[in-house]
Amino acid sequence: MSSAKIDKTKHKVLLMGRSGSGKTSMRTIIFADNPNVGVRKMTPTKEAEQVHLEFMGNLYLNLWDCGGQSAFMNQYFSSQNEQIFRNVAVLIYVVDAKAISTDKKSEEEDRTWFEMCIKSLKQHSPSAKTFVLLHKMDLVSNFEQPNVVRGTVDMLQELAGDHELTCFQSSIWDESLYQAWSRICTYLLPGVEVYRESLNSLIHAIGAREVVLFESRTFLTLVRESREADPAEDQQRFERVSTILKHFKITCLKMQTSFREMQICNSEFSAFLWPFTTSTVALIIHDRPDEVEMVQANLQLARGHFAELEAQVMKVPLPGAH
Amino acid sequence: DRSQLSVVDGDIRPRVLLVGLRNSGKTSIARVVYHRLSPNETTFLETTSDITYDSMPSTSFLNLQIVDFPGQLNVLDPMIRGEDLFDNLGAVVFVLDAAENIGPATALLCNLVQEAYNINENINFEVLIHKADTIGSEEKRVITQQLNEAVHDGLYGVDVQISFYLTSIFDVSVFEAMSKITQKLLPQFPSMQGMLDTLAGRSNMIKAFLFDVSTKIYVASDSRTVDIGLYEACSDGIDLVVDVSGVFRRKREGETAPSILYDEKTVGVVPVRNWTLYLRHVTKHLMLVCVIGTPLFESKQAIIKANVEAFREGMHKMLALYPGHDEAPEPGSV
Ligand SMILES: Nc1nc2c(ncn2[C@@H]2O[C@H](COP(=O)(O)OP(=O)(O)OP(=O)(O)O)[C@@H](O)[C@H]2O)c(=O)[nH]1
Ligand SMILES: Nc1nc2c(ncn2[C@@H]2O[C@H](COP(=O)(O)OP(=O)(O)O)[C@@H](O)[C@H]2O)c(=O)[nH]1
Ligand SMILES: [Mg+2]
Repeated sequence: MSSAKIDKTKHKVLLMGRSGSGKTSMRTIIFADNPNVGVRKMTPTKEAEQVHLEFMGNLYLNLWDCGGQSAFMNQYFSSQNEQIFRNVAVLIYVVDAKAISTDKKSEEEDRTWFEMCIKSLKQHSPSAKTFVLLHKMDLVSNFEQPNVVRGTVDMLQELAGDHELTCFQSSIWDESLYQAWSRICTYLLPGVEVYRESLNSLIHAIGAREVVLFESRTFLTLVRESREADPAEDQQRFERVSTILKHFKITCLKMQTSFREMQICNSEFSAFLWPFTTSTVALIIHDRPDEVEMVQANLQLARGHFAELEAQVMKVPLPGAH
Repeated sequence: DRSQLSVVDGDIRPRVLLVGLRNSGKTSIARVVYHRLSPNETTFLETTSDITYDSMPSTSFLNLQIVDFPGQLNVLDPMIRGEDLFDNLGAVVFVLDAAENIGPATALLCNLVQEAYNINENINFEVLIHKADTIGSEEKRVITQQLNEAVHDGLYGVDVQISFYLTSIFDVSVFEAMSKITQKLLPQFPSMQGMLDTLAGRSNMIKAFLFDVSTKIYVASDSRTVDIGLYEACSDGIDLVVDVSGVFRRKREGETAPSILYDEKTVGVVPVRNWTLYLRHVTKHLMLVCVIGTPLFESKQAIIKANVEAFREGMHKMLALYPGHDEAPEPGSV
């Protein structure tokens, strides 16, 4: 292994939760281009499986997908406790929202494991951030959703005490999965904020309605800017686009080809997807579909500037990291 | 109401009969292909208990009537009058579960073909060897062969053509099969194919498809054989263009549900390394998807675009010749 590797930022992320809660499905959809129909063939993860993921070119995620069967769980909290819980940047605890709210035994198990996770974190990685994903929300009816969410969040927060939790709802069957993981990954990469101001200038220079940067492998949203905030807009529109783009990427992979670019026009607007820097693609929405050439010329000019910023992105440390 | 089996006066829609044993996947196919039900949601479908008539969504170019004949009922029951069922029928689509013993299904298939053929010689017989995702490639070969032999023996002496398709709702195969089945029922198909041949030839395209946007069935393509991977890429290209347009379309006053944005200005260019997808609105239901080598597209864009516009005009004129299709160019379009 070359010594250059050591310089690269590497964050340890624990993925925990009962067996069958959906950890491996999520991870493979987001990071391994697994089309979500494929998850039906999933088998339970044995022990803690370590995966090294590259994100934004230079950020390495050392993701520990911790198999959730009781036998393994017991080991995580006894003999392997320090090995698993030291140097953790982020803990993602996944609960099956349907199971935890309807099945007493599942609820008991989640309570026990979750409490142990928080306890171990406090001991070995006190600055780690904890995300809770209320997963498989598609199985909970719209009517029950508010109660299930409130009930579960309150219960887990009580167990966590003063340890702060950030909770998201998710389902592999809609864009909520991309929303949750975008937030987790941008937490790990606070440096992407340096793009924001430049995006803003770009919007004004080209007269765009909005611009968003996606990470080019996962299509997770990194930063987005709009010219004017429109409260009527669909708040999850970029995550919807992530899902659409990811789906097309998988189709391209099946055909042994790849996709980083597109141009769509209709009578209302034009949309460009544009490979922007080595690890980002930009989507630009422009209300004057007839100004395509001008927009492309301006993007070309902005490219160099953004490439310079990319180096800075990696230098901003995580909050709480030493 | 069995009387509905016969054609209501003046109903010129081609009819398709979906038939097969219980649980073979008929209702799932109709829902997934024509109504965009997500495949994983078909597990919640209940067994069908009565004959069901399904129309195409109003957003579709296709104008078929689908008769979903439940496996619980016996399609050969003398109480169900064969004349009512098979007169004026365009196609019998027989669905059989690839994971089950094919014996009972084959017996039913042979009897059904025999009876239907005696009443109406013009019916197309189409057999879907369905749930193909549940078996391996060797099993696929074996089952296709067994079925061919069984049908050959069972229908000895009957001069009938039967087509077989391996399908699954979890991939594009069921859409491809239903596309081919549908094309045989479309009066406009020969003209469309001819026009696509001209277009593809003039612009040196790898392939040109004409899609029904709402079902993603391709109603025609140029006459060269279809690569299923390319069909899937083109079909997903439509999703890309239509879905991204839908996400960013400005909501109108008082509008609640987001609707799609697909108008006569719609164009998509999607380069995927070696080839480029060029997608273009044709009518409010139909979209043209061309596959062109990327270097060619980049150097000859203007000519290709002009050829496509000429194709659109030709299509508008041709479609106007068919009554009953609301496919005249919209006001304001070229
Ligand atoms: N693996 C797999 N399962 C499928 C496929 N198509 C349908 N199914 C499943 O098969 C089951 C039965 O499907 P239905 O569509 O209700 O079957 P049907 O032919 O309408 O049955 P009846 O109404 O009883 O005649 C459902 O659980 C579907 O999810 C497929 O392509 N692959
Ligand atoms: N309905 C639904 N099922 C899901 C979702 N995510 C995963 N699953 C299913 O849950 C099962 C277990 O998933 P898996 O990823 O193996 O869980 P793990 O043990 O936590 O890694 C699989 O059959 C998945 O298809 C979801 O969002 N909704
Ligand atoms: Mg049914």
